[in-house]
Amino acid sequence: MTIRTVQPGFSQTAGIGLKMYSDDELQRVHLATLDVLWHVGVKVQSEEAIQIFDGSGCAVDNKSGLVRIPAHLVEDAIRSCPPTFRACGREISKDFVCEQDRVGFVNFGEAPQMIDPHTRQLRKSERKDVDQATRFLDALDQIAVFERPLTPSDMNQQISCLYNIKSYYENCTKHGYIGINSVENLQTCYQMAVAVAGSTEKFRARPNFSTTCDPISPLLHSQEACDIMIESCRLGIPLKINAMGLAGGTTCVNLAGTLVTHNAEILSMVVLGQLVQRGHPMVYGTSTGIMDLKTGLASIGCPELGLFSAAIAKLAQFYSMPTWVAGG
Amino acid sequence: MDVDSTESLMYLVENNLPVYGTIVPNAGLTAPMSLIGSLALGNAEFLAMSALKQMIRPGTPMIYATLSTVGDLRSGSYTPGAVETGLMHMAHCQMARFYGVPSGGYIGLTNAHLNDAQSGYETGMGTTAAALSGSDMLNMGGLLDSLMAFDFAKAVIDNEIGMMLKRFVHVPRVNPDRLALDVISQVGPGGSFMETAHTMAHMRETAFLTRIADREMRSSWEDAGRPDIQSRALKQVNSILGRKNSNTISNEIDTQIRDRFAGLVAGEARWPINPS
Repeated sequence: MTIRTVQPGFSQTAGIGLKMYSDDELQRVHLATLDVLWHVGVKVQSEEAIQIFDGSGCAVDNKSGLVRIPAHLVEDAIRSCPPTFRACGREISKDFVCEQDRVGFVNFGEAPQMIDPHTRQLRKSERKDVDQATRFLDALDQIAVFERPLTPSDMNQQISCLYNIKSYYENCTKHGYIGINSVENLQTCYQMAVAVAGSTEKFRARPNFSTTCDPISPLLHSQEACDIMIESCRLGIPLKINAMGLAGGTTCVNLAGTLVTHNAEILSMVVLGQLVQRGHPMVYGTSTGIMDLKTGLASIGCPELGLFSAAIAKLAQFYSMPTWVAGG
Repeated sequence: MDVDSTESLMYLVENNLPVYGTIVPNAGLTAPMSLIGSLALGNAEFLAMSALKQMIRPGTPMIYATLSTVGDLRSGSYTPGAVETGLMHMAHCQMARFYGVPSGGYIGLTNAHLNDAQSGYETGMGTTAAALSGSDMLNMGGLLDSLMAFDFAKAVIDNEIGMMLKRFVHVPRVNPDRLALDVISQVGPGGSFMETAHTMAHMRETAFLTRIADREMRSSWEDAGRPDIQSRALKQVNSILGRKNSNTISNEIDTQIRDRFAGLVAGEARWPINPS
């Protein structure tokens, strides 16, 4: 074979990346967000959350629930959020490391209906479907992290998330995101998780599930979302904060303006969580699409969803926060 | 460089006509089974063709056009719909930019035989790769079945993909008007942006309004008889084909062509075509 020696200092590119915004533009979005958080503020519906904000130097109007957050609290919270998040599976070989630029896939949910695999007809999903779908998603090799896919409709809906987490532990070995609707259910899920982990210490060391808190666009935090966040931070359950705006409806029609309120919604939640438990793992999420202004309906399959997900990924990388974005 | 295509190329360059010579290395079959090796071979083919063109007519315009694929060695199949086709298109596109020549090629192709999910994702992924790499001219539109079959409905779908991709390559600007801080302040927490003058002013340029992609509620879709993408695309096909053709040539030119190439229009000409 012909001799071709090593070229010292030869630089190489690993993977193809996308540089969507310059650092100047991202900084501009960041400053605009700080401006909105202080001069416009967010409306908070949880009394406990209002107290936490109030005691930490925010300007709070107890009557309206309007909370205005000073810049230093926001920047401090961004810094204390861990830049790397290990989504722990049942065993270490199933762990997925979520950090700067690493790309992996998560299925999405929670869908109240399904296409029956045999009849191909649309129908409500039931407990047996939740079990089957969970086992199926565990087997798909490109699903690195699990998210509960379906609602079990054949049971009391107040506690359907408890069935989801039970099914998850019985059928899936990957890290799982379980959507939870109340603090009581969160505590029950936690007890189940601790039983699976072996002890509270073992759960803290390797949390085997995460949950999600969703702001309501624009700039509104519901009581459930805040209370679930506060309790999760205390119990050591990792969080995803997932804003779901609709550009043209609940956020500005322009993507740049949407980016600002979206960022303000996420960062105000990050502030709350970091005030409760400094260093608590949080993932910066988005499922923001557009409102089709011809029909007034949400449009999920739009090219703007991809653009927006890319913009959010860049913004979260700017903050060194792990990201979670809507795909297909 | 085979006899027929090389002689055609030489004839066209001599007559100062643009030539869209496309290089088609097929990794594992006509090129090495590695993407970078295939790139090197394909690039050599482009440079050889470029050298010939410039020797014939210095300064002749060129485009670096590719259809670089990777063979499916399970069957030996040709794979224009493969994900690597998009990847190779990006690589060749960067080489074209390195040389300072425009780039293009056949991209957004599919191995699928129908307008199905495979056809959609292969076309979508390939063209997204090409568009983001800054390819100047994407040959896409209407082909199924590894380039062997044209389908009108696929052309309509590809047209919509093209419009969606244009949204992708225009990154939303970050300037005071688009950041809309005054509007955000005016709407406030829990409000709605829908009725604002700002939304009215920007809605058409900001969100791409689809022509054939279905965005209706499921109930409306069911009431309409559950139309699939093929039937929605065919509606547009029929609307276009139902129009009068306004691109006809003048009677004068028509006569000239009929006189110059006897029997050609009727489809009865035989080679060589003799001027009458």
